[in-house]
Amino acid sequence: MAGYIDFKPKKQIATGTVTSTSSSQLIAAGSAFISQGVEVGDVVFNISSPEFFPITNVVSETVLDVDGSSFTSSNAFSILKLSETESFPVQIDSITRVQVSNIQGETMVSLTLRIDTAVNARALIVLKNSLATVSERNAIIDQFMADINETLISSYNPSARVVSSLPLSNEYMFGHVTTV
Amino acid sequence: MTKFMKIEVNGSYEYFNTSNILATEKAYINGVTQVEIMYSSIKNPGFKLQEFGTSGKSPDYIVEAIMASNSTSHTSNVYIPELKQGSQPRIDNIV
Repeated sequence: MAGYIDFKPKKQIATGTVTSTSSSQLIAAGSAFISQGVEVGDVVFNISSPEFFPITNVVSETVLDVDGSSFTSSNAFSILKLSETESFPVQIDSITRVQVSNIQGETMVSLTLRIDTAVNARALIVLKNSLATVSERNAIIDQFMADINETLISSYNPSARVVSSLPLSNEYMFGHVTTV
Repeated sequence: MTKFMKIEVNGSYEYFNTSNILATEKAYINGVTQVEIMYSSIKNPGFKLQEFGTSGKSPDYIVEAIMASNSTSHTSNVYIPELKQGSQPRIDNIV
């Protein structure tokens, strides 16, 4: 039976692409930040260059003030609401390799997925905290695999296990699937 | 049943799925001993576990460990063989 592990990253409420740059701002023509419920306290995740930026002001439907902006045109971004979560289920049998790494100051768990096409897929589950030491990252991946093991040996119905937290006060902040 | 095997590369832990491997292929190329893990007929996504040096023991050990992880006598879904950096056999790199 194929088991699923359902991660609970923060809820994604908007996505888009940066269209022009300005210091400490995110500018995305065509966005509708106010209409989509973006608020101060939400965070922007730069997908193209993995990093989180707190939103300090919603200027307009297309402009946000952000703390420590570091965007360039064509960067893809996602906006996360920290007070809410959403499902990010992954079929365990499809996972071929599990790694944990630091990229641009963020720690992420990388799941290489087996699919029957010429394009490889990878599920990235990003943690907000940067874990600087190897032992910290090893603790994360061991707990991650312990959750997977628990899912596989238990009789969960419908064979899915929900997990939302990791050691060292880490949470699943953002999950997405990318091609590699 | 889905099984995973734990490995250590330069001190960092990784896990890979040992239950749906299609084939493994050993090679000794340009001073590197390696075993390639293949999951589908088009070889993607797979990866190569490498041990620097051509006299390495890792390929035979890895294949044996994959078999052991899938043994019905091994009830846990996560298998942890003794495969550590600085000892033989070891993994120096994954590509």
